[in-house]
Amino acid sequence: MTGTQNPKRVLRPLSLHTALLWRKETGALLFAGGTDLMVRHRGYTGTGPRIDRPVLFLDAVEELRGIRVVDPANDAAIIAAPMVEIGAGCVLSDIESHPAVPELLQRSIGLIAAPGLRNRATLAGNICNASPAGDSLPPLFVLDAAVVLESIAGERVVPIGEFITGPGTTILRDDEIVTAIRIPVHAASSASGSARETVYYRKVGTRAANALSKLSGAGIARFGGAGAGADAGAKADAGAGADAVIVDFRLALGAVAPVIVRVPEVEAMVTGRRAAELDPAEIAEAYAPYIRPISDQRSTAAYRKLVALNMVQEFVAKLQEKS
Amino acid sequence: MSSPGQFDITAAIARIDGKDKAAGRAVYIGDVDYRSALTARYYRSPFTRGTITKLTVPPLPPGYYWIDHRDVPGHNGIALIKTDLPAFAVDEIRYRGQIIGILCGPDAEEVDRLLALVAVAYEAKEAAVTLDEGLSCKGGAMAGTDNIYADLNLSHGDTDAAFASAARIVEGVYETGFQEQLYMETQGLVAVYDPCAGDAGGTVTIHGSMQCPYYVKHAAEEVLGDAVSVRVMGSPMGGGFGGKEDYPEIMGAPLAVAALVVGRAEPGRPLRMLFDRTEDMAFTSKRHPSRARIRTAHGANGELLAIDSDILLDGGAYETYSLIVLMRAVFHSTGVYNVPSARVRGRAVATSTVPSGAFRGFGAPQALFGIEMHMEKCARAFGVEPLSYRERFFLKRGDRTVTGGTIHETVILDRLIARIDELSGYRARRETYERAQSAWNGPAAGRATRRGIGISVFNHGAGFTGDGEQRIIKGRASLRKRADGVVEILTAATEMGQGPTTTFRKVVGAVLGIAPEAVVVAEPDTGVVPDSGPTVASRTIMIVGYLLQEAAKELREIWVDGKEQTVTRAYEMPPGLAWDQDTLHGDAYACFGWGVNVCEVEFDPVSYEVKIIGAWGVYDVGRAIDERVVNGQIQGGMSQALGYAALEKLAVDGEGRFMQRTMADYIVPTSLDFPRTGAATIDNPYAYGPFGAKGMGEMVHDGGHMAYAAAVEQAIGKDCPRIPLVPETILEIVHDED
Amino acid sequence: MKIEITVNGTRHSLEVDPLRRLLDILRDDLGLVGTKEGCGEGECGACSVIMDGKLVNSCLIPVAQCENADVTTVEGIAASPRGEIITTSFANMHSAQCGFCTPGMVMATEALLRRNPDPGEQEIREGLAGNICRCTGYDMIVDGILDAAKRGKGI
Repeated sequence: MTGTQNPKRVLRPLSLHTALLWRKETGALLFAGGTDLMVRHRGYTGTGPRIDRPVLFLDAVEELRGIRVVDPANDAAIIAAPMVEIGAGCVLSDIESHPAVPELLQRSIGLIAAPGLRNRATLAGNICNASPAGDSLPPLFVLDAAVVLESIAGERVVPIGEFITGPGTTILRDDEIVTAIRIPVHAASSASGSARETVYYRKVGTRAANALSKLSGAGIARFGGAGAGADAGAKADAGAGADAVIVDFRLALGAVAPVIVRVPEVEAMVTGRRAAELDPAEIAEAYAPYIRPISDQRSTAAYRKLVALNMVQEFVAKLQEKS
Repeated sequence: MSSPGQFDITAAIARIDGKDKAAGRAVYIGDVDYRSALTARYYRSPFTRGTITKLTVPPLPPGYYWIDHRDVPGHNGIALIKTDLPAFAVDEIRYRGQIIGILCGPDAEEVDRLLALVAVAYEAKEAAVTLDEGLSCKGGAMAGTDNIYADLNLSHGDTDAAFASAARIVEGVYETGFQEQLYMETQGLVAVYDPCAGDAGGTVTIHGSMQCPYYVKHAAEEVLGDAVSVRVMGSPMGGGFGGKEDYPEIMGAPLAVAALVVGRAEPGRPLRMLFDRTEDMAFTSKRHPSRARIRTAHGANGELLAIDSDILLDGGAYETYSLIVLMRAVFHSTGVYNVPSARVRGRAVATSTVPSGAFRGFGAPQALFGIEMHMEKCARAFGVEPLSYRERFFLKRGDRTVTGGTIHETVILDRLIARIDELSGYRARRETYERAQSAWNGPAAGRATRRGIGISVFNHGAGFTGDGEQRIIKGRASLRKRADGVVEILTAATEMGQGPTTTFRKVVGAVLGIAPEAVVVAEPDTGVVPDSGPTVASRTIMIVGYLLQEAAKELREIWVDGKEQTVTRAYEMPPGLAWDQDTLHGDAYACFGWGVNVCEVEFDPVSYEVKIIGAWGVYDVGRAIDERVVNGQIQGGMSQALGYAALEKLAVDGEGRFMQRTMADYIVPTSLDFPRTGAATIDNPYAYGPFGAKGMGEMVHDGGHMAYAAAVEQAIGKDCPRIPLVPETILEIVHDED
Repeated sequence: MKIEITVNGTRHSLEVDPLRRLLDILRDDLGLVGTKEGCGEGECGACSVIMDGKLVNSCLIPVAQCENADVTTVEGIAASPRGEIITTSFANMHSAQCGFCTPGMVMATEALLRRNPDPGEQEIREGLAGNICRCTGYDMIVDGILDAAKRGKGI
């Protein structure tokens, strides 16, 4: 049964160069894991997807696989500081289990969908989909991730907050392909449970597993120590204790606004203060104007708003427990 | 041969179909190779309510067909108690998605393309899409003059006097939502007309996923008239839960007409209609939503003096089964309680949504939610622990039922409760959590999780309501012993996972002294098997299994080696029962199954999410024909009931369309959502069930949702009178007084 | 488009529309109907197969991405020594009621046992998280897998 549709224009190149050439030539639909595309374009049972553009399959391009730590000292890539570089072709299950990947990102990825889907879906796809409910996005935002965009003409590196501009929209050009995600190693230092750093991740899904997010939150906070911008009162070594000063505070909330909510102004309010003197309710209030969720078939605006504010308080309270 | 009494019918054996199913060898209708079949698809109304003024069908290539009401040779109505639902709409449309026509042809993608070109012009009418809009006849009444499909009233005793003199009156309103059966195999049928098959005039044969082959046969005969014969064969189903009880008639009758039209041009050409999940979710029948206003009159010490219930069911756009769902709801409206006087009113209301239909429990889960949550409320009103409050009013053998019948069996609720308390620690935990309750002041109370534990006590009338078995179904079952000694079971019962292909064999094998695996079960083919009745109402093991037991006993007596022998038994009403269908008075059910459920939860005040940390179900099913079959039903039924209460939100929008349209958005439990269900049964044999068994397939789904709601009520210290109790709803309840 | 694909150890050379789903290739072209369609959107796991050693939802994979892939379906697993143990345990423990989710459950079980031949209940439940069952409530599926792990020690 081959159907009566016109033959598709599809290409499944082995090299990135061929992929870039074809992308430029045709503006083809980029298809990596396809776990979202196959649903979005699905036809009736027993039939294939309805895609009326050429399709560029990226899953056979070996150059897009691989997770490595890239160091300015000994890598050809022009970067300022050590990075974890995740190839755009990496599937979620590979990323979830790789030791170089920050734990915060591993945790969010482990809660995406289900095992079978994680064996096909890519992180790059989750980013390019740019759903406000994308599970990987809040961690990527607090980790200061950037995406590497390549075209036949060259390469550019764009911070994730600039890459995603609205629900389902990115600044990816018709001739570009995302080839990697880069995460600064400093931001990625991650033994959560260390006295100097607290990591927070919470996904509120529609059920315990195989669930879309109603909302989610990712946070990282670091306590004062040597070389970390500590004020005069901070201890140089552990950073724990009632005197501990928060030297770094980052929080991102997902599915509560058209784009991921990360607010430097509020983070600045918290940075430099002792955990013990924070008022969780006050910080939550500071986030409130930026939390503008919608009601849909999954949840209500009232629920998303209230729980998002509770999660802010939960994160701050967690810092206070540590100190 | 061994005698029946010595055999431990309860001891589990391997499911006889288990290995084939695990190996992928079970053949469902979608797996049958119909290479020459035409793909058939419904054209459905794109608008909610109104009148079609023009229908435009695109020019069709050769081999492609359009079929609509003009092709119906018989009566254009679906035979489902009433025939108010047209097989194909003529011009009146009452719900979005109503069937207007069928488009079929050899290439699925071409059918899809052509279907998109069919169009209707119409005059829209205002549509009622909620119970209240239906009651107020928004847009004008759709059904009769008042949008009421059925209005049933029961009363006994002097309720007015009881309320007038009551020391205290407790009142509450309880609501339940839509629920989608979500069988893993979507609906699917294949129909073919062979002018040379069977009698003169030919035969339309329908094959597929259905609970009731004879119902589909009757529905097809209704639309085809007398000109052709109809033969129907049930395929093994990938789940039913009631969703394949009425819908295959709604789906199959128009398809039979289409098969006839195609078959006249191309004799023997099959039409294959397999629903996409999205079509199945959007347009097949769902559980009736309900709203019950319950008032009870009490003495000073909490005595239950009288009940006044007003139950509403949302029947959707056509009556279909609403009358009998309503009957069961009304008959279960007082649950397991002996209430001196009662007034119960039930109404099924018309709305412009998909006609509601059968779903495991069939009105009982809705009614039992109302009475059980109300008993919780009464206990709170009198400041007593809810189980001990309930225990004062349990029915006993000899007591009067709400329909003026009698409880004929010994009621062993006390033993079921003792067992569930052993398993769950309900009494001790209820008290512990009660003492831990401090006034709940909203988020300021802190982020610590809060626990609760809830119990529900319920019964389920086993078998068909009222006199349906003797007046309408008149079921017959046969055993055919072949000359080679192999015994074959012939019934119209279908396998949807509930295990009759194993349990029937156990019953027959036990009586005849044959290994169950050596007994054969004939395909439920109306051309071969007698009409033992539909596979519904928890009647399969109790009614049909009993017929097989009696047939086996008879066969054992007359057994002659080397000779082919067939024994057929017909249903006989057990002695001592009386029922008046006109006044709804007497024994609504031959017997009841009884159950107790406990659910333990942990509430998270940060996210308002509830984690279920314990679930238990203990039942009187008469006798378990196979412990693992029964426990599997208990666990699966509990999972569906907890899903009904905690996850499965299904809402309609202003156009009567369901808002949860995919499996991503209609939330059923995964392997990680609920803990194991502690399952147990206690024997209490019923004389007219095989080896003492009573019906149980629905009862095990009747209680989990109110045990959950009661547990959440304890955890959050607020009334939770409606389900689904998703976190968003809990948030609304918690903040209601702010 | 010409695709070379190995299914249950047999190499096939197919001339197919590259966007057709692997699920439909298996069922309609190769007659392997053990793999089921429950939802067509990757939510239910009834279409699970093992491709290049990984559990995947075949309803989401266009056959163009299966060039030179090594695919195992429930028919292939059932014929293996471990599959014989799994299917027998499933029958004994009543892991299948209606059976429609069961092939997918068997594939998830195979993927799980390849990774860890002696999993505990929590790990089993996590391994099944992408497979929806509407009949059993999962308990007896877990029982079936625990039984298979016990009986299959050494395989």
